[in-house]
Amino acid sequence: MIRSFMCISFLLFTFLYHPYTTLASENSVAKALVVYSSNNSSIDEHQRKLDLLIGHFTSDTEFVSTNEFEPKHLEGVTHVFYQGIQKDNLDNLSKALSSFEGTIVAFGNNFEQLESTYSFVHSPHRENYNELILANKPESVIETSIQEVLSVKITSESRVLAWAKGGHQTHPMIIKNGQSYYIATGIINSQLKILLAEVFHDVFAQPHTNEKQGYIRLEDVHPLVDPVKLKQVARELKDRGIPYMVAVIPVYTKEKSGKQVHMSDYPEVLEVLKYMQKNGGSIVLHGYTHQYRSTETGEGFEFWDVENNTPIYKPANESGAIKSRKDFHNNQAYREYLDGLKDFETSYISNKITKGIHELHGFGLHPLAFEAPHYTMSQNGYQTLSNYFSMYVGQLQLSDDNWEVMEGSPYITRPSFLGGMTLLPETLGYIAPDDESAVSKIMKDAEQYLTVRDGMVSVFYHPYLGIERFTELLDQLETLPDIQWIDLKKQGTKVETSDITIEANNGTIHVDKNQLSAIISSKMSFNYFVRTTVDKVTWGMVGVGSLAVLFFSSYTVLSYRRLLKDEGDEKIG
Amino acid sequence: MANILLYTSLFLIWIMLFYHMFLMQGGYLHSIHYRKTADKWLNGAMNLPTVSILIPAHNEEVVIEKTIEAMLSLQYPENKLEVIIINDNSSDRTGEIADHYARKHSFIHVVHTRPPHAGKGKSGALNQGLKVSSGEVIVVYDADNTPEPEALKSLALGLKNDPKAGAVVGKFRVINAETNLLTRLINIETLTFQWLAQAGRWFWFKMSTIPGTNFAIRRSILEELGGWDEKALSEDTELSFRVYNLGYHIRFFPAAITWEQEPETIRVWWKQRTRWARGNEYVILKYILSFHKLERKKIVIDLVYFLFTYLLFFGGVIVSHTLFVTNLFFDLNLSGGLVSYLLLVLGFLLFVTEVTLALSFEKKQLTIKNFFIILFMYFTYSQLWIILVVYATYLETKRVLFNQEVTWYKTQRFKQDTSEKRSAS
Repeated sequence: MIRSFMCISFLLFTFLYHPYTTLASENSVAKALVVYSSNNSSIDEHQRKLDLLIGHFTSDTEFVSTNEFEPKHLEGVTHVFYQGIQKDNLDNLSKALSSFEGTIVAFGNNFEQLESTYSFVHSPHRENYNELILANKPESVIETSIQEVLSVKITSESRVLAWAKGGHQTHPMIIKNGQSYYIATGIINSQLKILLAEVFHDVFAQPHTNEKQGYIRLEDVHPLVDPVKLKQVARELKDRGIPYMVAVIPVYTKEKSGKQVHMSDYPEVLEVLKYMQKNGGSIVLHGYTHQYRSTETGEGFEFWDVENNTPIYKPANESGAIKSRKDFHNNQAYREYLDGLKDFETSYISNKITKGIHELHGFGLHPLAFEAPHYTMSQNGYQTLSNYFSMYVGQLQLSDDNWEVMEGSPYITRPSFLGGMTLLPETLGYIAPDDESAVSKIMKDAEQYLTVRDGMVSVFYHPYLGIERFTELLDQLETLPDIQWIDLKKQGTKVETSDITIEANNGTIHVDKNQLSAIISSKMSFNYFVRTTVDKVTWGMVGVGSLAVLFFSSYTVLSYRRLLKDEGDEKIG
Repeated sequence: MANILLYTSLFLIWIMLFYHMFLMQGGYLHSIHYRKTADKWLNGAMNLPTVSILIPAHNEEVVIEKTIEAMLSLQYPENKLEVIIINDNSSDRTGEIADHYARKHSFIHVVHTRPPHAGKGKSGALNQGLKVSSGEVIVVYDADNTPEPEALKSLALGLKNDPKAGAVVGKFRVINAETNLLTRLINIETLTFQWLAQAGRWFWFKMSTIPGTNFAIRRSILEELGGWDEKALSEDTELSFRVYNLGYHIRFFPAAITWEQEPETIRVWWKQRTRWARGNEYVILKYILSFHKLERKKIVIDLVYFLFTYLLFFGGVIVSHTLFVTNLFFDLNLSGGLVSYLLLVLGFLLFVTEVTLALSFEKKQLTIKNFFIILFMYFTYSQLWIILVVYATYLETKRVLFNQEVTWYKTQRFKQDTSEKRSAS
């Protein structure tokens, strides 16, 4: 009986559990296929950028190179994207697409081989541009660095949705013809992605409401931050009624001594964090130590080996470069070696994440999302992370070869490479300590993101900079029209380890835990738990002891009086 | 490390203090309730049982006469009473005095023990007395006791009215309380012990410990148990455990009052209390080692209590004292802070309020003078107990390790000024 009840409630739960985001839920039947021509047979940052944009509408996206493409890949597909980064032969694809009835979006080169569909564009030649303009919002001009566009001629029945402008010349950048779209470059740069984000609503026929979103994230909050400044910032946000995120690093590693300090060593900071969690703030786990080698917390990378520009493939103190294929006799041996490296990375990340969640949980803080230090993490890292978190905050590293290749998206998205995690992108950067015009830069960038109907304006701020610059930033951000500030506690997030499940929805956090193991699994928070418990118990002892003293004193008076009365009675008797 | 020790000792001490608060609450309630029971029983008509009073006496010439006189003034039908004085290998006039009374009063009998069945301590003497006794109820008085006339009747009625009671324990008062500071301290201590530990445990758990004197026990039980344990230094505690184990409870009935003499010098006090402490430690060890064999697990309550009293509580106190002193010279980085000072003060206040409460149950005990003695007591007499328990534990450990035989120290008696008798009543 009980068991069947549990089954039913579990089923109900799975159905009811629906993340609240503006992600495409009304039309989630969209299934995308991305076919690409690039010098890399496996997918790289260019495809992932596309993935980020498509992820706003569907996570059901498959990537194949033109060499791998077979007609069966089109089964059930509603949207085909062709990304022509380099010249290629598209015979196969062209044939298959001739009978395809869904939407097609082609980028860059080789479109002319898709002749049945792409007869509406012709005569490409290369031109430069440095401005982008949406056709229906000619007033918003997005400046770029000098980029290359494949300038094309178009037929009269085609419609230009966006223009690229270089000097006095304008070139069609996004062109629509019926159910087909052409984008006049294979490379999606950070400005083009904003236009694409807006246009993709049309591509996927998901109009979405014109609801802008945003968030404010307090960055790098570790045990050594100034609790006074932190509290000031928290109060300001509370007073303005703005929900926000706090990126917490549970452990601070001192650079010189390598000594680690925990939240339990700085209970004042912990108290402020608890205050924040209660008053609009949501905790985001920002790594465990924010460092890998013995560098100071906040400076270091935790999930990327910057020295070697590789994922974390070996213990920090182990020297020596990562081997390459030529160091091995055969492919088999090399593959095994690579698998070993990946396993090391997986367990390294798992260990740190689990520690972080458990330690914070032990302190009464409930992380609801994750943000990698310096946004750096490998693809395998994201997959590993997705076992623990349902929501990722910040930007994403898109290449496993170079940490510097990173990107956000203009809106909330769930790209296929995040293993089911939702990205709450950070779009506007932060207030750099020595940049006095930082706020105006942020405001200028915000305008660009607001051209997307449900675009995201999100910033992060280091509380150590103090309250003045923060109020300046908030004052400016509040001039933006109708921003919905994201409250993570209302996003239906889920964080899970083998011992704890933290879920947040409708503004409340629910923790399901195997209490004992969750506490014991983190030595730090266990010690803290013991310390705070001891503290509570000893004060309880003081309370009960004082009561006893009061009671016994009054009993004594009562008893003494009774005895006097007895004696009086005896004398009378 | 120092902090772990600090908190461990703090908790050990406070577990005990909380338990004492709880017991004191019970003691207070019992101080109100028992009067009603006493009124009902003493005024109701009831067929009294036959009683044998056992008085073990080893070189008790100083006090025995007065004790026998007290027996003569007990309000109890003579045909249902026998008083058996066990003159246990005395080398003084104890036997002579006892014989003198036996000749005059038919219900007084004297058993003279001689080696090898003699001088083996109180348990041995009591067993000898038990052999020749015939009463349904056995009552024990120490040779320095002067029970009040109604005491015996109260004990006997306690057993008669409460079939579940294996034994009934009366209250003892200190006859020489006014003699000197030590006896005043002992007086306060014994009153507190009886109202807190005895009355409190009776009230909550229907348990109390048989003291050496002024108690009645069913003959049937003694026979079933085979008498007293002659190896036990505190035969009374040991006997209590065995009575519980048979499923009986031990009633604390303060209506039965006896007056007894307490040590007047530190040396005598020290020896007597060392024997008690060692005796209780013996009992803890004996029953912990054979715990699985016990039938009534209720004994756990007392076993744990004794374990706490003699080992953990004093251990905690010693550790906390050591930390306190060490911290005066070296910074131990203790993180106790304000709360530990508050607890220190509260511990003292609890002691004072509990002891004054216990004194308030007795006429003319809650005096200004006694109040100051209580304050003084905390820092002196109570602390002396710590050293004593350490010493007793050392002796007991040695005895167990080297398998030594126990020697029974008989408490030295003092000649009383008769005018002092019941001066406090």
